[in-house]
This record gives sequence, C-alpha cells and structure tokens, in this order.
Amino acid sequence: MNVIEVQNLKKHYPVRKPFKALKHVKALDGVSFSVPTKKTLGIVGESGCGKSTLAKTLMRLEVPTDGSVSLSGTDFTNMTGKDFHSAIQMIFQDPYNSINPRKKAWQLIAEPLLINTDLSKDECFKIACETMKKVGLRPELAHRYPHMFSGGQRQRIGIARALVMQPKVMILDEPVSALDVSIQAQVLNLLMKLQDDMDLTYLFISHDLHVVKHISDEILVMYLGKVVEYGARDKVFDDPKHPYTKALVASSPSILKEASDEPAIQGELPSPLNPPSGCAFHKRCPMATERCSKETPELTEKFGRKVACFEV
Amino acid sequence: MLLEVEDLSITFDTAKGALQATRQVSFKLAQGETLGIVGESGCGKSITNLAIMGLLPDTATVHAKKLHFDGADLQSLSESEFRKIRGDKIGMIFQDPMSALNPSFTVGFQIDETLKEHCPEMDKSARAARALELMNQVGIPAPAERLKNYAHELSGGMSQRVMIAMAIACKPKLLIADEPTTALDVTIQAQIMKLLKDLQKEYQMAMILVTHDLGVVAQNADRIQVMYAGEVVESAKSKELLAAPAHPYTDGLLSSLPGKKATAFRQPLPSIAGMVPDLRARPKGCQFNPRCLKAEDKCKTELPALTHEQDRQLRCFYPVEGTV
Repeated sequence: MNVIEVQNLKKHYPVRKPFKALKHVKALDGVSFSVPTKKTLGIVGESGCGKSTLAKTLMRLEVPTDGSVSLSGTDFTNMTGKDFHSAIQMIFQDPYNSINPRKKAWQLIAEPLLINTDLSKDECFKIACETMKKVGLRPELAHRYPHMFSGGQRQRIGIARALVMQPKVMILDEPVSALDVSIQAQVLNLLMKLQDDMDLTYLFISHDLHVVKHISDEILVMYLGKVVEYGARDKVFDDPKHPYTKALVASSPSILKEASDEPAIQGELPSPLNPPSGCAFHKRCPMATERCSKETPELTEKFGRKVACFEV
Repeated sequence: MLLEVEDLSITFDTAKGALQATRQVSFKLAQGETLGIVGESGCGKSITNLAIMGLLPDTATVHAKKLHFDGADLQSLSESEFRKIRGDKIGMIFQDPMSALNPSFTVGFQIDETLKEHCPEMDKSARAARALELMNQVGIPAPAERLKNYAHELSGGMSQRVMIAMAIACKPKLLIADEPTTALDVTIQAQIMKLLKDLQKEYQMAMILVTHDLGVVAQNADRIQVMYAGEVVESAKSKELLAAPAHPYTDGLLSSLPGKKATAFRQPLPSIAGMVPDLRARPKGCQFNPRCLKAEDKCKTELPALTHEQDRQLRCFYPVEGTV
C-alpha cells in the first residue's frame, strides 16, 4: 500500500510589484508521486527546482494551491495536528540552525511529545533517552546543550526529534550535506538501519546523486517545479533518458570517472518568474526542437519510467 | 618551484589555551600544477592557504622552516609588501561567492579596484577595457551590462565567475581556490571547474584547490594532499592516491563514499567511527589513532614522521598493505 500519495500538487506564489501585472512563481507545478511502505523516494534537482517547497507543502507549512496529498489513505488537510504529526516528520539540512540552542538535548527531542501527547514530563524524558539510544547518542548526554555536540551528533538529535512521534513517513531534506565526509557515512548508515527497524518510508531530498542512488528505490528528478523523470533507481540513474537527468548524471563529480572535456550543459536555471515557453528546459537542452519551445511535454511512460520529453 | 612550504605550524592563542591549527605541513607546487587539498572541517586546509596569503589574524603565530613563493620569503614580508603580492601574483577565490562580493559596489567597480591597485600603468579606459575582456573570458553573457550590476542581481554561478575574473585580473602565478564550487549546483559546478582549468592552461597558473569533495579533486587535481587534524597524512599523484590509498584515513574516506560499485544498493557504508579530535586536546601519538582500526601501541605514543618515498608522502607506521 502507498503510505503517501501526492496528486497533481501545485504551489504558486503570487508576486506583486507596483504598476505591474500580478505574476506567479510556480514553485510546484503539478507534481504527482506515490511511495509504498518502507521504500525510499529520492528527489533530486538543482536549487530553485522546488524540492524544498515540496517538502514544506507536504509538512503543511505551506498551503497547496491545488492538488491533494493523502497519508495512508487519509487526505492530509482533514487530519488533526496530532494525527498529522505522527504520520509525517521532517529532518532538516543544517544541524547548526535547525535546533534551538537554548534547549537541552532531551527537551529538543521530547518537544513533539510535550505538544502532541498527554504524557507527563518524566515519561517524555524517558522516551527521549530511549530515542537517543536508538540514534547512537549516549543518554547521559541528555542534559547537554546543542553547542556541546558536534555536527554529526546534532544531526542525530534532529533525527531523534523526528522519530519520537513514531511517524510513518520521514522527509529528509539534504540530511547529510552539511556534514563532513567521514560523518556522512555514519549518518546514512543510521538512517538505513532506522528505516529497517521502524518500517519508515523516506522522501530523500539531496543534490548528491551518489548518496541518493545508494539509498533510494525510486528517483524523482525535478526541474523548475515540474517532474521531468520519475522511475526506478537503476533506470533513471544508470540509463537516464531526459536530457536534464543525463546532464545531472554527467556533471556529478566522481572519483571513478574522468571529468569530461565539455560541461554537460551550458547556462543556468531560468528565472521562475519568467519561465521559458514550452518545455522549461529547452533553452539549455542540446536536443531541443521547435516543438519544445511551443508545447509543454507531459510526463508519459517510456522505457519503463515516466519522462517528460518529446525527443525520447 | 613556485611555492615551497616546509614545516608550517600555525598556533592560535585562545582563551581556552593554545590551539595548534597546523603542524609541520610541507608541500611544493610547480608552475601550472594543481594541488588538491582535502580534509574535513577543522583539518587546517583553509588556514594553510590564509598563511600563504598572509591573511591570518593577529592571534595566530606562524612558524615555518620555509615559506617561499616565487623566490620571495613570505615570512619576512611587511604588510605593504604582502599587499603587492596579494591579488597580483596570488589570486584567491572564496567559497561563498554571494558573500565574498561587496554588496554596495557594482561588479565593474570591484574588478577595477584590483586593477587600480596592481596595474598603476593602466589608465581608466584601459582598465575598463580589461574588465570587459575579463568578463568575456569567464563566460558572462552580456558583459558590458553585467559590469553595472550589483552582487544581488547575479546568480550564484555568475557571482563566482565574477570572483574568478577578479582573481585572475592581474594574471597571477598562483590561484588559490578555497571550495570554489561548494555553494553551487552540480551542473554549474562542472561549468566553473572547466573554466578554471581553461584559465589555468592559458595563464600557466599553479592552483591550490581546497575542497571536501573527493570527486572534484579526483577530476581536477594533479596531486592530492590529505590533511587530518592539521597535519598532512598523505600526499601523492591523484591517480596513485585514489587507486591505492596508503593511509588508513584516506582509505576510510574513499571507501565511505557511496556510489562505488563495491558498495551495493542499501548496504551499510564502511564508515570511520568517532570524530575529529579537539585541537586543544590532541591525542598522543598519531592523531588518527583513536579512530584507526590498525592502530597499535606504537601509534598511541609516537607521532609518525612524514616519510617521502617515490613521490608519495605518508605519515603512518602501518600503512594499508600492498601500497608502499
């Protein structure tokens, strides 16, 4: 069964400027996907492609303009706060800015419980300590403040704080990119172990393709608020079809391959305020034809995955 | 040799006691060569470069047997002599292009500033022409209009191109790139690295490329130097180092990277346990010994010396078998 099902999700931000017509930034423009229990969906794309808006919208931090999200079959707008927060939780990128420096570790971890449940403070403290053990932090550290922890340990606090509500779905927004290389592997291993132990479903947002590939069952590639390619990990990464996915894979630095002589694509992400007509990628695309500048390709099933391109 | 660093030690006086940021760092760099310095935060990679640029704060004490650049002893230079080298013979690119540019002046003004300081023979119109030429060279579309832009009007990739234009304005002999692409997206990163390579070829510049991304150094550096807790632990030609890492730390770093064929889907990644030591309370002996799987009693008491063998530097008593 699909624990999370997203249908045609849209988030448009109005941009008002004096003496100018009202415009919209289409941060999310018709995103649909579903993830079965205990699986991981990797979401990749460059900054400005809508990854973080997607995370925020799924967390109900933004009100979607259109579309629906259902968690284990229930529409998420109809859920009470408590139900919602025990269904889905999020881990943030920067462990230095995402936790309150004035609270002790156990308070940070227990806060969702104190807000959403009727448990007493002592019970919350106990649960917090148990959760600390699960994420590899010694419970003796419960009374320490965040500045006494290293980056990797802080990220573990962030993970514990999300786990304490026993959610089914976790959104991981660049969970390891602020960490040092030797710590990244530790945290990734922890995330994979927790997923197996607690039957979690992950939405894994990252710009590091190697990390995404290691952990994800399916991959969703986004460009300017739209899904350009969506399918199984080996299909999308080992045999990319959309020219943007191809460029991403080719640009991703690796110790295994030599750098190519020519950068895979030229140019930069266009302004979301004035997106190009037709396919949003056509101005940077080596395969673009006249049709691409006029019509917007739909996401269609091709080569065993979904891809939005006329030329594949 | 363009740059020779021998036994560079930098100590900071802090309220909590002396902190030795680097210890006995030695390396050489020839013209046109690229040295990649990798290591985790706090390993001393940025501090080493600041010492070469003479940009360390007053709380730092620098000791070095040799700190020679292009025939000059950097340690004996006065501040005004250093100013002549900085931006002229040594250019530097910083990590975050958005905050490295001055928000109150136009891009053109900031490029002009460098030229004014270091090329007094150029008049205003010659400088303007050079600024335009530089903007063209770093691949900025519509360069004439862009010169009138402020930093906030540029994207991250564009700002980094402007930073590069400023750094190469005086055709430096050495370019220090401190995490030049960390703040950028992968497709832009590939473009910027290509640009740096092309410029390096054109000007015959030596380059120090500091990054924590092993993939980036692997693809761009001739030599790789791995630093840990302020010390060089291993240094060798890129290909040799990647193919056969000898220091257990380098080996651990490389094997912890996802995306290699050896690590199958969702298998636990081999990781290095523990974390970087506090530089105020360094462990005895080898700095890596508390995290090292191969550590013996000797490693806990004695600091291994940096050995030189066939173009490879190594600081380890028990290197990975079959490598040295």
